[in-house]
Amino acid sequence: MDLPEADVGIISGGVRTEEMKELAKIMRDKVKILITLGSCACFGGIPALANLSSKEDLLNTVYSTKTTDKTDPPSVEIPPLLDRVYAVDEIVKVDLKIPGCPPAPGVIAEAITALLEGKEWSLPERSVCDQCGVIREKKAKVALKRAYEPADFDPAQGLEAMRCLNEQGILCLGPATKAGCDPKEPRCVKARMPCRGCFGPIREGAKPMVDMMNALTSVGLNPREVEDRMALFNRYIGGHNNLRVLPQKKR
Amino acid sequence: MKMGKKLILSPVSRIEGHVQINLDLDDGGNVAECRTQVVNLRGFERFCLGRPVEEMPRITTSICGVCPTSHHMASAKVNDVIFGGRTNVRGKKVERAHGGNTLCH
Repeated sequence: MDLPEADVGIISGGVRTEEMKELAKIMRDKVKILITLGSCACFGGIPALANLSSKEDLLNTVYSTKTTDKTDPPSVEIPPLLDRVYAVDEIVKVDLKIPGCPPAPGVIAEAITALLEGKEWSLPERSVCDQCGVIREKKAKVALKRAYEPADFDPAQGLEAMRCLNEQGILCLGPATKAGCDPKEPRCVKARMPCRGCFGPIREGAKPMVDMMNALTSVGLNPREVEDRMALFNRYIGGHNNLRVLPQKKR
Repeated sequence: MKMGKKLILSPVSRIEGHVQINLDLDDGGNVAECRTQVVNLRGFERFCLGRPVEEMPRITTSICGVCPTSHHMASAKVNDVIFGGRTNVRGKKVERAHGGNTLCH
């Protein structure tokens, strides 16, 4: 595969196949500044939830269903799958990371402008909670609820009149997620939905699993009650070995 | 077997995902064989299993960048059925406007 030389290259999407790995390497050689755009490229994103299952498990599920005839996975002219989904920066060096699912337009503009002016740019190491104006009383008023239960809020008033979602028992990943999805207040919480962590960990290498356990315990919730917590706390960041195949629980 | 020319259309744009079309041409330049191939496997079929159903509206939207709305609405409606939620008239109108919006873009 041949690519033209360029000053700036943008990659969206994680690395799943040998072909993509090869493409990422070629692109690294041909461009001066490599940007990863979106959570898939930065951390693995939603497709990296597949890292919870082995490659064989994936192929078996997709190619032998109850309602279709069993077939073998195609092999002719198809690039082989890698063992798991990788974030782009696990394969090649990345100069600029713009996370988000989807990335906020303001953040893209900010990053590109900084690039044109020759300045360094990265998102500040602040959590979504630092930016969120809800009422916090440091003590959850109820036990954890399931996510379909609506939050208690007054639609006529802003976030400053709503109780923190975690304290309402609706699990929100704000404490372990980087701020920046909106210049003023977090986008999902503004729509009265809990944050799901698409901007990734607050610092490079931080583990939201640990941060969330601490945050929940500190308001008096039991993190062990969280359904499916491995996948939930690492929803968008399954690359970087955050999600792996776990041994099956005995029932 | 004597191989003629090979044409590869990759990537096929205006669809979300990774598809390529391979055409094998014979010596006369006619199409001898044609294959449409999906060159990536993400495995939504597998990793949606075991996740709470109310998380689906925000997982399945990533299936496709052209029609995330359809996937969102489908999973939201499934949740309505499972948990016995009912959409009021205004909600229904928002749903329709949202769906129509997808058709436009």
